[in-house]
Amino acid sequence: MAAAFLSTLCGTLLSVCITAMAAFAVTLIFKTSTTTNFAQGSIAALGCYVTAELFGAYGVPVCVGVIPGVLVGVLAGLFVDIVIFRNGRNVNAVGKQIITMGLVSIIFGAIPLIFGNPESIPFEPFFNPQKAGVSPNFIIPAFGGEIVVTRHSLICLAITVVVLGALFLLLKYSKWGLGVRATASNEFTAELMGINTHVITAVSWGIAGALGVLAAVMYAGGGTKISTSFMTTVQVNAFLAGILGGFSTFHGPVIGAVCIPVAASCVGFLANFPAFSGISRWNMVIVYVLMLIVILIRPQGLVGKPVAKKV
Amino acid sequence: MSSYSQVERLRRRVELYEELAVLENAEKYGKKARGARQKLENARAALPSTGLTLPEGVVLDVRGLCMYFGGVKAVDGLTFQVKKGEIFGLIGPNGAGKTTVFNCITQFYKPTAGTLHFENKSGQVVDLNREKVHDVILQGIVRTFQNVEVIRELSVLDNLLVAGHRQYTSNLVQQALHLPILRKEERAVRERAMKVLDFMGLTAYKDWYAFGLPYGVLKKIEIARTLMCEPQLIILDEPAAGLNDTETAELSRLIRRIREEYRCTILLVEHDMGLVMDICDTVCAISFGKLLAIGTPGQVQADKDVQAAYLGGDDGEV
Amino acid sequence: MTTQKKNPVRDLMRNPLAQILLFTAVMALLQVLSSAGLISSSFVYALGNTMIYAVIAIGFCLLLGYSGLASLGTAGFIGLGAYAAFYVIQEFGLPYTVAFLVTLAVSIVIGVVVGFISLRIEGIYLAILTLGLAEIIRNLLMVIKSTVKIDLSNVKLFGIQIGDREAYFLVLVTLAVLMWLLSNLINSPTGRAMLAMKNSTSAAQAMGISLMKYRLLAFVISTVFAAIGGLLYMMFVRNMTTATSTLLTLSTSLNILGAVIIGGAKSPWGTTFGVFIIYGIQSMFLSKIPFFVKNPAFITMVTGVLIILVVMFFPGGFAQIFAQFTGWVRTKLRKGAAA
Repeated sequence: MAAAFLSTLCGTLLSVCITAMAAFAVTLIFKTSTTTNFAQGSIAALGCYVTAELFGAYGVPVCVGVIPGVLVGVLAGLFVDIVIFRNGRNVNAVGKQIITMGLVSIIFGAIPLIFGNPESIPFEPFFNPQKAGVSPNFIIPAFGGEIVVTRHSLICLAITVVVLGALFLLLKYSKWGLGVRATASNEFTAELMGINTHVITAVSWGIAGALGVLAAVMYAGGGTKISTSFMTTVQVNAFLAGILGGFSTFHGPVIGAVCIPVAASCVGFLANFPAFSGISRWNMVIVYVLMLIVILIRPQGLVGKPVAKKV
Repeated sequence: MSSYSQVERLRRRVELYEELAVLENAEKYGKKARGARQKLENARAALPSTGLTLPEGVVLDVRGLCMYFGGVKAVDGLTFQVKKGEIFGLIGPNGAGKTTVFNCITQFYKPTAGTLHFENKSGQVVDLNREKVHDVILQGIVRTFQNVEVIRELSVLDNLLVAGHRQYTSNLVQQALHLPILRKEERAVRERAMKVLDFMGLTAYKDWYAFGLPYGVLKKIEIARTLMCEPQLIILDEPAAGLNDTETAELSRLIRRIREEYRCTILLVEHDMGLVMDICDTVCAISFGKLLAIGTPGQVQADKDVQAAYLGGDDGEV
Repeated sequence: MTTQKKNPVRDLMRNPLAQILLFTAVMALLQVLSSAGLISSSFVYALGNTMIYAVIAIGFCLLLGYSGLASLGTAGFIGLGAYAAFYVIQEFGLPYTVAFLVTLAVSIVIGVVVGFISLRIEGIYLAILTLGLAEIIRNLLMVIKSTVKIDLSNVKLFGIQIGDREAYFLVLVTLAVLMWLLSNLINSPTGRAMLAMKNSTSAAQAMGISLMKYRLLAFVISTVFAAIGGLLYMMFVRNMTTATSTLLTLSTSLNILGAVIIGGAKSPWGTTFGVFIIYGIQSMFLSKIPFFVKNPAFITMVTGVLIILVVMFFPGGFAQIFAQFTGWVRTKLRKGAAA
């Protein structure tokens, strides 16, 4: 049983990585532009389509094709901030939300126009085990059973740890990171203090776009079918992870992003016991309800600090 | 058993019917008024007694008030009494806890300890700590805010109507269907609002949106709002902040006029010592949440502790 | 200077009831014209569909524009109404009025729950939380039954057999009545109390406005409107596959939010127009133009661009555009009269 449980946990590795990346991206935007970016998922899908097109039509391996894909994500992010937000007339937080929503419509329309409407899109993981002629899984004997980990999820875990780790270090020690934290605390004051908040937000949008595409490529590499809206669930989970962990810190949402897929797989694992055999259908419902309860008890999030209101 | 808010609602009903009896149909509304009055008497009789009393002439009794935020003692064992009909000034250096005292009286904060006894509009003494923040106004306590909280999306007149919110007796269904009773009530409250605007000299601004009006006018709107609900005690949080000398002089005249016209008690926090010394009957000085001195402006001015608290107190005005 | 001349027509047009009656008359006329074969039935069908979304959106208008509460749970609430309709009418064979009452009861309960949540959690957090709630409802409904379908052949309302035409009128009358109730509420102490709460919670409380009462009320009303929208959807469209339909997903909640914003959050008519832009324009007009028929993806793009442009340049939405336009026309006319 222990081995089976560990296998289940390892099965969520990929989800954890993807949600964590998306959650970090959402938080970055939330803190610098005080808005929730609903286009996060669709920008990610757009970048992923680019990578898929390069792979399918020109045979460029995904581990190379991911770079132009990520670049497209960066450009899309920069476009939102520089072209749209900065030219709008006093657009408030809700207005920005609606703009990102309009962007979703545009991308949903643009993808079939650019890439057509194929039945299925061929894709491969970063490291294609079939080409290399090795097994896609690692099997570790332990606890009197076998723990199965896919090669892809381990690679993704490494990428996530490196990328997010680097970003956290940048936030903490670089000038850009200080600027982001100052902008997040108060954009107006930050600007008065000589921080170029325009550059800060633009770079944040670029990074968010890149993270989204990276997550999407990892997701599709895991075998998920690519479609215009295939990142929507990830995006929804990223938002929820944000408030579960608390938007007041950067690491909170990432912790939240770890919790959601792990909780889901734990609930799913209960189905192995006869008493809970029917539970897997209710998997997501149970996880969301649990999350709702946690948020109601701690509105500031798992690691957030409560903010006192001044009258 | 009945609650004070029910009694207030019934009282408004009676007033409305009596008004309508004079204006429209004496017979129909006279009968309704008598019926409502009967109900009001019953509700009053059923009102549970609080068993509290205050010394003659005292309207508000603050006793041992404490408000702690974590380890910070914003207000620490403060005791004072406000007499009926006086203008009471609360002074103290920045961060002394003046606004916190106000927030405790109006129940925006629930005090850590201490009692707040108040003689309400109908002469009953109540324990304010048992009131909800939005029910404090029913007892006759209204306040303004330090950083002007005018409803920017509403016209000046509508801002006053919002302040008269608890004077409406019509329920949700009557409002959703716009029944005649609501329209009549609306007219009555509107008339009252027009009177207040006239008193405050704001009639010219009545249809303006509060958004974008000059600061002085916004401050006046805030004060006008407090007059909409038959106030017993008006709490002004730094009414002169941001006003120029002429406006401040006008304000002190206005505060006196309000007391005469509405026969209410006024409690204010102010940094403008000229204004405080000019209009207040009693001044209470606090520092770090503790009482320094209380008495007439002259007594407080002469107090050694107060002078020390104001960094030597050689301000000239203090 | 501005001597207001008595103008009975203009005064009448400012009366909300007159506006609603005129709207109802026009919409009814379109249906009659379609019965007479003068307008294509698909146009009227799209119109009916748009009006269903308008019911949902005007309820949301009260929540966002007046109470300042953002919710992304609309889709879930629509689902409640749709499933209530399915179970009451199809499974239990009960009349429409029962379905209506059940929808009302269920949505009031959910509205109260969300209202209580809104007292603890505010702003964008609340929006995301309601999104979570909608996901719960959607997953729940999907597990319970994946496809709901209503057969109207023996459903009667006030003794009238309900068919396509009757369903259209049902939608129209519901919209008109709800619009009337809502505009009354907006122009009453309730509407002002909500606006006060949106602008400054402390001032509202000091003025005797109970945050709990009005937040609950705002959520209950918008939830009820959304659920009624779901009920009408089942009466009008009659079937839905929850797993594939986008009706119960985030995109619907966002579209409703978008309609309210680009329409002008404080104006029910503006909101109705916003719904028309988002839902109506593509099904009624763009889908008739050959270019868009060949490239349906362009329709989505046009809507997206339109939304972005309106939010970028007219933060007050179409209500603002309309006000500016009439102001411009008036100055032109006055200049013309002076010259």
